[in-house]
Amino acid sequence: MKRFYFLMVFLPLFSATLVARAEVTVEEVKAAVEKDLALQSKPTFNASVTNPAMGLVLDSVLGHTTAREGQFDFRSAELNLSAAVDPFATLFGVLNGTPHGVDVEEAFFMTSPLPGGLTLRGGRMFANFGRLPHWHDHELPFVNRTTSLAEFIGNEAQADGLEVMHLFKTPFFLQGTLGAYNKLGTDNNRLDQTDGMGNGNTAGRSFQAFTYLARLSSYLPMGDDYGVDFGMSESLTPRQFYLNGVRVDGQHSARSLTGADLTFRWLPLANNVFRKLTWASEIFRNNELRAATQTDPTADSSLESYARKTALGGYSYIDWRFSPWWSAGPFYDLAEDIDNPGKVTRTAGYVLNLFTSEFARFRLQLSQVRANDGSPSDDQIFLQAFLTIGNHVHVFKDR
Amino acid sequence: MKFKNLILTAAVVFLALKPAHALLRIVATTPDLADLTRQIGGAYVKVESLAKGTEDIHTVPQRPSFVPKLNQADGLVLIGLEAEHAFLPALLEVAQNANIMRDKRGYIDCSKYVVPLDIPTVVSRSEGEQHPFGNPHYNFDPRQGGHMADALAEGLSRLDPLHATQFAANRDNFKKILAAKMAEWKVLTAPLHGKKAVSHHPDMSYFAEYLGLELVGTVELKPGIAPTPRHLEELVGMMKAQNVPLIVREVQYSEDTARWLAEQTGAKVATIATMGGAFPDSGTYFGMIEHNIKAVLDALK
Repeated sequence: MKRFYFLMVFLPLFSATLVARAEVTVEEVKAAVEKDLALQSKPTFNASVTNPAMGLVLDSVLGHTTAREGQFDFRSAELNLSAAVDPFATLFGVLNGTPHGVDVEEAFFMTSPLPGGLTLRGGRMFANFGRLPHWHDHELPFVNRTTSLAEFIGNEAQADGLEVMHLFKTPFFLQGTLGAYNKLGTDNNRLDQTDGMGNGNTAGRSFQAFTYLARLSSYLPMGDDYGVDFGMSESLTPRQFYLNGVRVDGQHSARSLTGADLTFRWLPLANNVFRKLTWASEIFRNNELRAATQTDPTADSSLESYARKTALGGYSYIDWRFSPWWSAGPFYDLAEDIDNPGKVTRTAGYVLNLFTSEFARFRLQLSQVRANDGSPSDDQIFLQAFLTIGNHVHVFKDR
Repeated sequence: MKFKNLILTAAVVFLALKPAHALLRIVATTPDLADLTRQIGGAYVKVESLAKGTEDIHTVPQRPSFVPKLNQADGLVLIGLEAEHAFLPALLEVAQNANIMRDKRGYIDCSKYVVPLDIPTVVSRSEGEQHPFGNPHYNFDPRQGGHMADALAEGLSRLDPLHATQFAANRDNFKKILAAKMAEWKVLTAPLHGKKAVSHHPDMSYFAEYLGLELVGTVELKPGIAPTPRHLEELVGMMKAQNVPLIVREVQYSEDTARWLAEQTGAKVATIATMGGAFPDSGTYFGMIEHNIKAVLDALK
């Protein structure tokens, strides 16, 4: 009986399909498909449509250095999130998973344009100091953050605080930034409010012990194909109460970190898909009270333990994109020891990048680090893989 | 007394110099859109273009010199469908002009009335750098000119309602000229119907459909992905097997690859513009289309 009903239903359906097959023209099918596609492209309700844009970046390195020998380094898996909070602000988050754990690298809001050409950022962010200090590791033009960036900035310019940016109403590009933060630099522990022995005020700091930033950046077009970006940054901490982890009272212990950056670009109007060149340089100057050493002639005898030191550092690199697949170029980094400015660490290297697409880059780097302590040079070879999925944005300040 | 006279004179001079109406400051992302905006906006707009015609719209650099232009613009005219994804969102973020942000009053998306082709059924980066909302390279298909003009007239009227009638009249006039030119081009391009072609990037869908060309492949492995040697080998084999007579090289892509492909297959190369201003004779919207038609016709002579 069941079979009978089944046939009763199935046979008419089957025959109807045959008839329909015979009658439907190719044009009608095409029209139906197009209509279907058009309908698919119409927005429909979906609970996930308000989810933030997401992206994941993998940064992994195979390296061999004289100092460390061979090593596969899973460096990070970085999760990026962003979405509008409301008409007035957007929230950005960067969660970074490394072999040492998961860290909130950035989590900040940015307002929609405010009156007076202002934009406000607040939370944890990479402060707008210099050029490379606010780039994420995997975006750098070399495998490792160079010594000058590590020593002077404290690796990335991570900062918890508030930043206001202003675009000047000038016929040329001129942007200013003012910021106030607890401190600047991921690994800058100068202002960790403890002496390492559990003593000290860990709850907060006076306004004099915040770090304040001022930056001006501009751009000079040189015809259609060339241009120069340049900027000046000053990060000032009026009083550092903790020096080398030890509280020091009654001394003027301001820290001044100054940066100047210059980026020359060749971006030809023709064939710029695979022909471009970037030559970027940045100089840092650090001035602060540091622990004096016996050999230091500038040590103030009245202070005995501390002396104001000025150290310089910086890098320069060239990235030449010469084909759709490849780019290459040298880099050089020079960093004086912040405590002993006469001692210099030099890093030189050459980078070859392979781009299989906009979302994947493989890098070979040969480099040599000559440390300031007279130890043998560290010869390095790295193979780095950088791959990204999901949302991927081209940020103006990281270009 | 002297000072008072000076002030009065200055005021009279200032008023005399001030235009009777303030011009709308419009920034267009491409030179052809800029030309179209001038045609629709007429005497009421001052238009600047960001990209130059020889550039690839997907890789236009984020030049800081674009920022003040966007900051001070009343309106932004763009191709849309994510064509400008590489540079525009980041520039808009830094330009701090709320009026021209996406979907705001001054945001004039010329794709508004365009029915997109090539909407991907599967959106995955394994398929290359796709455009999820459809192929954005409609701007050199003359059939889309009327739609673009409609979106432009509507957008400019939003910004300057007092001159909406003038914008509508300019749009209608543009459509008349376009219709006349399309009638001419129809006769000219009739021999192209059914001819097979490959292009460098999959940006020919609209224009090829208009010309009646049959696109059978691209030099790129996938959209935005440079060709591998194996892909080029396969492309040569396919072109020979199908007797493909035409290689369309968009001006921003490698001349060497197109030349090599032509040598291997015997096909002819037509170098076209995907934006206005790529060639001396393609500075205007009509100039761009005429150049492209002539390039294809010349290649297949």
